[in-house]
Amino acid sequence: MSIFEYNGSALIAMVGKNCFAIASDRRLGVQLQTIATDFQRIYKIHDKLYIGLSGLATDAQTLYQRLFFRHKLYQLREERDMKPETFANLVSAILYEKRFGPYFCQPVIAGLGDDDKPFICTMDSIGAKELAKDFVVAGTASESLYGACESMYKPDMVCSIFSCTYIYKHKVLDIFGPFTKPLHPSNPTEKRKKFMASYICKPTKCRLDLTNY
Amino acid sequence: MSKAVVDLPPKGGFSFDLCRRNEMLISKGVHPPSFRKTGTTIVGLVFKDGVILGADTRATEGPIVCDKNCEKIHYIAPNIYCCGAGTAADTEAVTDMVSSQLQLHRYHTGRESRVITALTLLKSHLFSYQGYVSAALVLGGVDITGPHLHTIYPHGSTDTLPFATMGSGSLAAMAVFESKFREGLTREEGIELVCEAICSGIFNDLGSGSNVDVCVITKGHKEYLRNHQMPNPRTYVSSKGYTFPKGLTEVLTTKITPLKEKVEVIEGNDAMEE
Repeated sequence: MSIFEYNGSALIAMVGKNCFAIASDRRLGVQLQTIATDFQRIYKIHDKLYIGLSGLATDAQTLYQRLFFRHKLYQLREERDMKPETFANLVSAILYEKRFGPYFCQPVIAGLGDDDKPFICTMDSIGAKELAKDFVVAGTASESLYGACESMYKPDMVCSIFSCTYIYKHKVLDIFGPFTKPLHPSNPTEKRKKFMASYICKPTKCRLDLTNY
Repeated sequence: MSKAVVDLPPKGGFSFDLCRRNEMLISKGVHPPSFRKTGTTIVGLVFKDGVILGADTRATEGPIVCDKNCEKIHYIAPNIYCCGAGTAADTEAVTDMVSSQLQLHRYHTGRESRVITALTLLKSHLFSYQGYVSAALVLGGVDITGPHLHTIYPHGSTDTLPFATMGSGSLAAMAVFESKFREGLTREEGIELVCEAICSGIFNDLGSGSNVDVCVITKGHKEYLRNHQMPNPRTYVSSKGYTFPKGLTEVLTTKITPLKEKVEVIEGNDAMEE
């Protein structure tokens, strides 16, 4: 069993018209057992920059704390917020530093850069950046998310979040339980209790939705 | 407490802090994740006036294509470019590192960088990690001594060749080169041959795909033709599209946070008075 499937996660970020959306599931599990249904995977770095961390939950929390610390130092020194491109480079460098003993995390970074241009990016666990213009996915459900995004994504969506949520609705099976097998037959009602958190960020405001699926 | 919990920016290089913990996890039967590889076709050839490098644009994560249009031709110096195959993080990190070392060297010497300098820096770094930094590179450029093309293997061995291919699609591309290469190609012929070799890799190797990137380097001039050929367009797009009416997903709670404008304080002309 892979270390990535220990806690399980699904993350997605999409670019819309002058906005971006980032969404995650909220289940925390220990292999097949669900421990929590309100686990936070997306963290705010500053008003216009969010990072989602999939993979091993303990590494995700540690990595977030280190990154937030580095950003606070940057804010003190430079007296401004970090641009998303710069932050992506920082995350990549921190992950590559641990090349031979990596953090078991795959980050998804989403932010508004210069002129409020949306920026999204994902990396593998050792920091190989993938900049995309449309969508990025990470986590154990990534294969299903790739498929759903490829077929349903349209450029310049005003509220790309709805695509995210619709995609999640479709991919219920992959988010609950063992990620490569179908839903466990003995608890079909569990899925109603699963929540999903999504942030949609425009230049003037940011919206957090907790949705059911 | 002298053993600081504070995470100061490190002095550089790799840190092996988490190795023991990861070893313990492996012994408990938990396998590490697979890294993003660029199962690739990268080629280079020397033509009449310089060097042409070519690469496909697919990045894979296991059996899934994670990036359909990634950049595999990395900048090393204004007159030197390098294509990378192998683990994506390793090729990016190693080429960035050598690129900055060469920039410092240029400041020190005041001269244009030589391809052989980049070659020596890369091969000594890769050799010192005994192949664990899994980067296979095709390095090409034009300097004061003329055009050069080299291949560098993950363990640190190098070859100097008139035409070279690396990556999982290297055999497919080499087949094209071996049959059609000759000395003294013109620029157009060279670009066409490179594209043909990359396409051969794209169509015959599963690890390579999507588009063809080409980089032409001549004395004093370079041209990076990103997506020079796109032989794999997306042919089917659903005409109806997918629409998601509002309210399709039941929203439990919503929190809207207006983002504050950050106010800039501009110092007045008056000096501070006591």
